[in-house]
Amino acid sequence: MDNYSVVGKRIKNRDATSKVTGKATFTGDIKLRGMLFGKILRSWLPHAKILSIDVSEALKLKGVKAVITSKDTPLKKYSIHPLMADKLVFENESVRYIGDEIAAVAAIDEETAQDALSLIKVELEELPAVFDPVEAMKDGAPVIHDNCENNTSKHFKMECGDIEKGFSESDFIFEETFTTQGQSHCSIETHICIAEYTHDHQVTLWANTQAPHPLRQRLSQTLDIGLDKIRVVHSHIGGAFGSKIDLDTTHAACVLLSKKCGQPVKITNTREDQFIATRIRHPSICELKFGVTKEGIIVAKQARTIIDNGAYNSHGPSVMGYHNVMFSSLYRVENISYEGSLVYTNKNYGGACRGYGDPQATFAQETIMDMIAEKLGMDPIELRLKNANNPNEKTANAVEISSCGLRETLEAVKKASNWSKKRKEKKKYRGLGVASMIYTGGGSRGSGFNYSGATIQMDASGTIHLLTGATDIGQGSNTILVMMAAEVLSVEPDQIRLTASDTDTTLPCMGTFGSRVTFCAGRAVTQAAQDLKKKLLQQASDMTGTPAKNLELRDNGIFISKSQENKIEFSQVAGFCYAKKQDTLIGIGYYDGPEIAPDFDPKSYYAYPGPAMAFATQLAEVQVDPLTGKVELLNFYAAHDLGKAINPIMAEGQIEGGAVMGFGWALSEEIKFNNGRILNPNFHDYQIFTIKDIPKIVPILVEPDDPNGPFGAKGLGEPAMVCTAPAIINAIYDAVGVRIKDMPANSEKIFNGIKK
Amino acid sequence: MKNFEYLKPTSLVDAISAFKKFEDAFLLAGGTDLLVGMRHNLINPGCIIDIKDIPDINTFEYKNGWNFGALTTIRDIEASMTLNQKMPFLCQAAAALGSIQVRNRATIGGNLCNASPCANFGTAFLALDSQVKIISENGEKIVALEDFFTGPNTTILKKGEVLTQILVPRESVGSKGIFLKHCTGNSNDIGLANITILLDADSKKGVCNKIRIAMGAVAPTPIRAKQAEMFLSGNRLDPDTIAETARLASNEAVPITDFRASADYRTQLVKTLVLKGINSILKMS
Amino acid sequence: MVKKYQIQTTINGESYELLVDTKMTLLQLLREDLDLTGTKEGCGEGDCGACSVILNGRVVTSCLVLAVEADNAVITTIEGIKTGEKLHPIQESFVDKGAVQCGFCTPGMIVTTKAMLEEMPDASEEDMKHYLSGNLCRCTGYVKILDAVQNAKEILKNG
Repeated sequence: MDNYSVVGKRIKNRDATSKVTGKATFTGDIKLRGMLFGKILRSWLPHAKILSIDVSEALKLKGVKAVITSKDTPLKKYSIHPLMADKLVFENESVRYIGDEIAAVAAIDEETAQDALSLIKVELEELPAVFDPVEAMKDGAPVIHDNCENNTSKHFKMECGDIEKGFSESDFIFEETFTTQGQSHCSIETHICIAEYTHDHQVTLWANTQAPHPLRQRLSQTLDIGLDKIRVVHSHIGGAFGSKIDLDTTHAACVLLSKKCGQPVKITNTREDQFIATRIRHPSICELKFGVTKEGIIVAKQARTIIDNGAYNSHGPSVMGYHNVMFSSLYRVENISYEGSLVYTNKNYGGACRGYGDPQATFAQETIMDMIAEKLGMDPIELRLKNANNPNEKTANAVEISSCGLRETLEAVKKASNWSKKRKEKKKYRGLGVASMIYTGGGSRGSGFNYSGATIQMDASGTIHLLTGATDIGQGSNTILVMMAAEVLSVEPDQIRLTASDTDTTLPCMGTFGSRVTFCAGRAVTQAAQDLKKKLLQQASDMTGTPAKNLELRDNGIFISKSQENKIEFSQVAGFCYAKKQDTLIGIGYYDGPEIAPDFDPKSYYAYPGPAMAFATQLAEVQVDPLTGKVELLNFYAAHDLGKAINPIMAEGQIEGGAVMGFGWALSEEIKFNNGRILNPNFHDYQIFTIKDIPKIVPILVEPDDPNGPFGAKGLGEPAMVCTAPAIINAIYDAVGVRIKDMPANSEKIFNGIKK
Repeated sequence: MKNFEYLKPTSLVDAISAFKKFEDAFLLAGGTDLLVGMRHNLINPGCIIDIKDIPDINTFEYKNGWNFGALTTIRDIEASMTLNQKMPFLCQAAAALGSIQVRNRATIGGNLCNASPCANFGTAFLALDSQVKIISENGEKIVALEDFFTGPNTTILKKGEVLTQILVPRESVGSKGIFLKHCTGNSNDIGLANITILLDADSKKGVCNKIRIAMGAVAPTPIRAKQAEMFLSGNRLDPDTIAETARLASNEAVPITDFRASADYRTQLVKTLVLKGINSILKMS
Repeated sequence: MVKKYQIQTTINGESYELLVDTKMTLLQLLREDLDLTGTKEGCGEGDCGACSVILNGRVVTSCLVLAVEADNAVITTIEGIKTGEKLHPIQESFVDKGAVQCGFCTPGMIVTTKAMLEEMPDASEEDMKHYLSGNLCRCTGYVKILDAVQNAKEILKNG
C-alpha cells in the first residue's frame, strides 16, 4: 500500500480557478501593440500546377502591410520526419490538396486581410487528381510527388516467426477486411499563432503548440533563422489531441509576415480552416488473416494495411509504424506478418490524432477477435484472457513489456458490467461488446529521442520553482508534475511555483504527445526534485552539523529523522546556503529513454523502444432500434492499466473524455470527402457528441505500478480512446447481428444490415 | 462584408417602408440563420431591419383558433405550459430544434421564412392546416402555409413583405398529436426526417376519424402525406391499416441522397416515424 | 464610410456607451473592444456554445448576435459570474469536481449552467443534459461537468 501524501490524491487542477473565471489567457486572448492580422490563401483545387502568382493588387489595398509567397521563404521542405520532408511552407510548383497554402497577407484587421486574399491572382492549371489510396497505388495514377513511385511514401514488411507454419497449425482461419474513416480532432480552440519579429532579428512566437521546443527547432531549420533567435512562449491551450504538434504554415507565415512588415502578426484559424487545413486521423484499410486453434490460441496473425496519407507526410510514416507495433504486440502471438503501405492522395493529410494508428489497428483486430470468439463458441473475455500479454515479457516483435495489467482490466470490466449475468439474460436488441488494447505509456525513442528536462530551484527565501519544458494542453500535466515534485520534497503542491513550456527558461522537452508526459517529464521532474532534495539535506547538514542521512524532508520543512521537534524551515536553509555558503539550490533532471535495442528497425518499428506499455479493456452496453438502426449507448465501462494514478480524478477525466471521443468516431464522426472537397467542415454537419448523447460511463483505474515509471505511473491520454470503437461495434453485433467492418457504424449502415 | 445600415423600427409600417429605401435590405428577427448566412458571404445586406421591437407579434393566444405572432421564440413555445397541455407536439418540435442558445433567439416566423425542407415548424404548422398572414405596403393577405413554401429555402415572400402571424384554425385544435425526428450525428442534428402527426380517433370504435401527416426533410419543402391521410381517415385502426398508412406516407416522400444519408434510408425512416407516431398517439390517454 | 452605431448597454453590472460597427458581433465587441476575453470563439456559427452569454435573462451564442442588438440590453458574461472575491458555487463546483480540463468550453458551460439553474433550480439530470446540449466539450466527456452541475444545484438549493 502506497504511503504517499500527495501522489494518488484527488487534488484540484491548479489551473482550474483561472479557467472557471475566464481569466486564463489563451493565445487568442493576447493583444500586442501594433498587432496585425494574417490570413492564408489556400488552393481551391485538389491537384494543380501553379503557373503564376501576382500579389500586386493585394499590396495596393489600404490596410495591407505585407504579402508573402514561397519567394519569401528559403524553399526548404519540412515534415515531422525530416528525412521524408515533402512540404513547403508555401507551395511554388504544385498544390496537392484543397487547402494547400499558396500565400499569406497581414493587414490591419481580419476583413482587410480576407479582402486582400481575393486580390491575389493565382493561375492554376488543374491536374488529374486521385482520392482513393488503392487507385493511387496503381500504375498510371496521377503522380502526386515526384520521385515517389506509385504514390507510396513508405512501404515496409515485418515478419516474426513463421507465418505460413502458424497458419498450417491453425484449426481455423479468419480473413476479413476493415476500413476506418478520417476524424477531425475538434478541439474547441482552433490553431492560433502570434509572431513578433523585432528589428534585432529576434522572434517570439505565441503558439498553442503541443511541442514548443521542437517547434522552435523546426522553425529554425525551415526558415533558416538561428535557433538562438527564436523563443516560443506558452499560454493555456484549448485542447489539441495531436493536431497542434507540427510546424504548420500558420506558424511560419506569422514569423515571415512579421519579419516583412516589422509588426506582430496574429493568425487565427476559423473552424472551417481547422477541418480543411489542419491534420486529420488517417483513414485506413486493413486486411487481416488470423489463424486460431480450437482452444482459442492465436497461432498466427497477418495484416496488410494501406494508410491513406493524404497529400503530405506529416506523421504518416510513424503512424503506420505504430499501427504495426500495436497490432503486433497485443496478445502473445509468435507468428506475425505485417505489410504496410503509406499512400498519397489529393486530400487533406493525416497527422497525429489521439491513438496514432492504434485505434485503426485495434478496431480491426478487436473486431476479428469477436468473430473468432463467436465461431469458437467462446466468451470474448475468455478468448482475450487466453491470449493476454503478461508482465515482464517480450513480444514476438521484440517489444519489452514491463508492467501489464491487461488481465486485470478484462476482469474489472467483466465484474463492473455484470457481464456473465447480462449475457445469460440476453435482452432483445440489446448487446454487450468488449475490446482491449495496448499502447505506449511513455512515448518512445523510435525517432531517436524521447527527451524531457526539468529544473527545480529554491531561492534564498525558500520558495520553490519548478521549470519544465512539458506542455499542458488541458490534460493537466501542470498539476501532475507539480504533485510529483511536491511528493518528493514533502511540500503542499500549492507551494510550488511553475513555469512550463517557455523555450527561453525551460529545459527542452520533446512535447506533449505519445502519452509521454506523465512518464517522461515525470521522470525528469522527480529526478530534479530528488537532486534538489539531496542538495537541501546536505545544506541543512552543513548548517546544523547533523549528518544528512539523519535528516528528512517532511511537512514543508526539514526534521531530524523521526523527530517531531526542531523543524528547520526552508527559508533558514536557503538563507544559509545563499548568504553563508554562497552556493545555490538547483535540482536538475533529464530523461531520454529507453535505450534503443540493436535490432530496432526504424522503418517497421520492430523492437519498438517504448519505456512502458499501457493496457486497457473497454466494454459497451448498447440498445439498437431495429426500425432505424440507431444505437443508444446504455452503459460504458473502461478499465485502464495506467501503472499508478498520480491524480485519480484527472485520470478518470482522461478516460471519460477519450471514451466520448471514441463514441463519436465509432458511430457518427466522419470527414466526408467528395473529389477532395470536404463536404462537412463545420460543427453543424460534422457532429461531435454532446452532453445529451452520453451514457453512464464507469472509469476503472488498474494500478500494477510500473517499475520504470515515476511513482509507478504510465501514460493514459491516448489509450483512453483506442479500443472504444470496437467495444461498441462488437456490442452492436451482439444486439442485432450486424457486423460493421467499415467505420463509422452509422444508423443507415446498421439498418441496412438488419434488413439483410 | 460591407458595413450596413441598421434600423430598428417600432412599427410594421416603418419596417416595410425601409424596404423602399434599401434595395438589399434584410429582416432580422432571431438572427440564427441570417448571421450564419452573412458569415459565409451568402448574404451581403445593405440594410438590416431589426423587427424585434415591433409590438403585438411576439406572443400567441387563442381567439377562435390559435394566433401565433411570428416573433414568438422557439423557446417560448418549448416552455409554454399552456401549449404543453393543448398542443404538446408544438413543444416537441421546439425542443428538437437546435440548442437552448438558438431556441432563445430563433423565432417561428424565422423558421418558416428560412424555409428549410426540414423546418420543424414547417412540419408542425403544416399538419395543423395553418395559414400565414403577410403584410406589405399593399395591405395584408392570408395564405395557406401549404402554398407558402415553394422550394428549398424559398417562399412566396417578396421583398417588402413581412410574415406577421401564423393562424391555426379552430377546427385543427383538439386532436392528439406528436412530433418526431430521426437524428444522425448528435442530439442537435437537424434530422434526416421529421414528422408531425395529428390523429383524431374514436378509440371505442377503433376508427380513425381524421389523420394529418406532415413530413420534413424528405421533399423540397415540408409536405403533407395526403394519400396516406386519405387512406386512414375514416378507416379502421389496426396494425395492418397503420402499417399501410406508413407505407403510403413513405411513398409520398421524395427525399434526396446526400452526404448525410441516402434517399432510400430517408424513405424508410418516414415509414418508421409514421408507424411510431401513430402508435404513440394511440397510447396517449 | 464605416457606419457606426451608438449603443448603451449594461455588461456585468457596468454600463457602457459605445460606438460600434454595425457588422460587428456581440462576441467581437466583448473580446476585442472591451477586453472581456473570457467568452471564447469556437466556431463563430452558434454550434459550439463557447461564446455563450446571458442576454436579457436568456443564454445565447454571442457570435450570432450583432453588437448593435446589445443596445439597452443587460448582459452577463463569465467575468460577471463571480461576485467580489468569492467564486460562484457553480465555479467552485467545476473546480472541485474535476470538470475543467483545457478550460476553453468552461466559460460558456458555466454561463449556460447559471442560466439553467436560475430558470430551473430543480433541474433533473435529463433537464440538465437537454439544456447543456449546445455547449460542446471535447476533453472531459461531460461526466464530471454533470457532477459539477448537480453539485452546484444542491448548493444553490440549500442556500
